[in-house]
Amino acid sequence: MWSASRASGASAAAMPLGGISGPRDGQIEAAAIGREVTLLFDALRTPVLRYLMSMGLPVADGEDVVQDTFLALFNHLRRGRPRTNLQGWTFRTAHNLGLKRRRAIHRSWKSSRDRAAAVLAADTRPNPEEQLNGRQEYERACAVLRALPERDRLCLALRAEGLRYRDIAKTLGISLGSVSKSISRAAARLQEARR
Amino acid sequence: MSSRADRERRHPSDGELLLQSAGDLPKARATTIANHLETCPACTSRLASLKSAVGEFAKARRSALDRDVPPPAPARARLTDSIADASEARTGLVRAVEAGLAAAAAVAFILVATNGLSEGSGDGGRPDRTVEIAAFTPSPDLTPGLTNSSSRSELCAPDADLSTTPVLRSVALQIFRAHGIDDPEPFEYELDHLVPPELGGLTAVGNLWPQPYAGSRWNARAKDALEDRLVRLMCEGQVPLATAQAEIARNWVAAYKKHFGASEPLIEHAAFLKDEPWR
Repeated sequence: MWSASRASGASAAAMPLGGISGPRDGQIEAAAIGREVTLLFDALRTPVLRYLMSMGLPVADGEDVVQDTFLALFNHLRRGRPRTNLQGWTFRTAHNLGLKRRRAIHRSWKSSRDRAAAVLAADTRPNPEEQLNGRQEYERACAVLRALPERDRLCLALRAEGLRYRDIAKTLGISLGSVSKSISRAAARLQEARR
Repeated sequence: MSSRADRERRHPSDGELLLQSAGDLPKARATTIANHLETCPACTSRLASLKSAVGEFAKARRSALDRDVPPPAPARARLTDSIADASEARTGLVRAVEAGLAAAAAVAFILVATNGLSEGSGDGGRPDRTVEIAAFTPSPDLTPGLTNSSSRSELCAPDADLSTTPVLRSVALQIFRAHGIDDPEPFEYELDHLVPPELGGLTAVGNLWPQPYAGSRWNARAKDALEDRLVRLMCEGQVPLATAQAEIARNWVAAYKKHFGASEPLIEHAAFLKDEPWR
């Protein structure tokens, strides 16, 4: 509401409205955007990491992807790119970087097929010592969902992280109708299993 | 061509029910389904059970995965380092940027501490909740919320002009000072219309207040999400304009809880951004 212009980034910071001029613009802007990105990190890091774990990435790789994602967000904002729906942007970027990382892991572990299979069996990292209630329930759910296409599971994981349907569609690059079909299919299966 | 009554009689698919409940359907279709749901207990209960299946899965998933999620502090420190490096590469003004980021890291540290407290383990501990909320709703003396006399049809017209005049910097600084903020940090606040212009709110001192993005989950992002929802409800005729204005002016946190049916801001609103930050 403050600024008449919806534009952001370098050009906006240099506007007289900001009361800032001269060579310090760049530094002040970088620091301000850095602050904004760390705030978004606080809000979104764990949801994004959980999503990457649902994609089948080991935690350490997920953390790397989270780093790359938020650094990309910083660069995105510094270039003055649109800041509408940064949550959707963050999940979309994490998804794409996550796919890349998953392919790389798959390639490097080709020689050891069992380990690759363990990583790629999305949503289940076997850990028999920790079979506590929540985990048991979750693993039962994952077993039920395993028969579905991966897209259904990813849609459900994104919905579980609170994304809107239209943001899920953008994240996965599919239509709104496909998202709602995927989620209703997954929900119906979970319901059947509960009976 | 099927009549409106025909369309309303037909049972929507599971997918459409879910989209409708999430507010992701086009307005006309959403209204048709809302009307159908009013007279169809079967679809109503189908929707409830779909939602509960997704909700229970979300809960179990979170509690299972969170056991393996490492604490955020090291990852956050790593990120601030990378951001410093990236800034350095772009501007070459190493020292100043690092100083700026050190300040950001200090702010960040405080935020981690408060986030840690508020997220805690489940619902336990947050004895000062009322105090915290009071600080994130404006004082009614300073910001009672002022509105113009626009009607619902004027505000909801497709060609309604809701643009606002930019606030003079000197006026903005006065508003910040009145709220006890002498030297506002750019990007930390929204100079928020308590009653948004889309609900007839005026760009005037009695309707503007500095709303922080940080420090509480009841922040400018949550309020932006509420504004978005209230405007939609008002234009759809589900909430009278005067009620929407009064609810948001009196206690927007209470209004948020009411309209989203949530006791805490929803995670999907954590990055919600409708209005521009103050800079």
